[in-house]
Amino acid sequence: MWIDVFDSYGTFCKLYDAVPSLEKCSYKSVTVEEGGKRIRFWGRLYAPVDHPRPDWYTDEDGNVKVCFDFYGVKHFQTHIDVDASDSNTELLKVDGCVVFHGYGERRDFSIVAEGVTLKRG
Amino acid sequence: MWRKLMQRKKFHSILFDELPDLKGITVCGLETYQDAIELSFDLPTPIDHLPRKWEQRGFTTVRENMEFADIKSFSMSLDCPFPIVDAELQDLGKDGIRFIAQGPYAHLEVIAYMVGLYNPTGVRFAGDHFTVS
Repeated sequence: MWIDVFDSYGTFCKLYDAVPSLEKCSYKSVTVEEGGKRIRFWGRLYAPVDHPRPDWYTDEDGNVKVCFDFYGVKHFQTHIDVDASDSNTELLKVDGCVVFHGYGERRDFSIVAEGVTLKRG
Repeated sequence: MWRKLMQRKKFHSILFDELPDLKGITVCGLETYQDAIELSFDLPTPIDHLPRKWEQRGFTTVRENMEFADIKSFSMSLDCPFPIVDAELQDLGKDGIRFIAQGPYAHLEVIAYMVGLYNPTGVRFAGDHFTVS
């Protein structure tokens, strides 16, 4: 399951009775830091939480704001056109590396990294 | 076009006798927003007139921070940290501007309608984590 790919995810799982699909996540911005060693994806999981918690930000509809914080980035590639639609994404562990891949209409990205943590957005 | 953009920030003409181009810059960071992108990179060109504040702190390198707004498209690939690239800022007329950077380990292209440049910051070396205004 995608949540198991994260090194840590704090109390995220306590928000839900069952962790929602990654398909419900929409990514709003990306930051490339430390010259590219660290990349963070900021987004929102469009699945209202079952049990709100003060340590996670939610919008008025109960959707939780998340940040995927990749470290030890080995490869990053993206292309985005204006008005691009949201992407379908997958988060996997392959040969000890984290692979994050997304694709959609006029938008794609992929990251290969040593690891990733899930943080509040 | 890059030099015209630099000329708008008087601080550049204090630092350099001749405004440098974008050859051999080091990509340090990037942030995307809803419709904008901020890019920071270090210039390889030695500073001709080092500000005293920078000299006292050992800052010898100029870090530029550019902002692109009204983005049409953005693409990037990165295969090593702090990649060195040759870049160019092109005026596309009514179609806006194009920033293109290419190196052995990275590629970056931004097509946007607006571009701006902040005052540069000082760092100790290309890829340094510490900055000062």
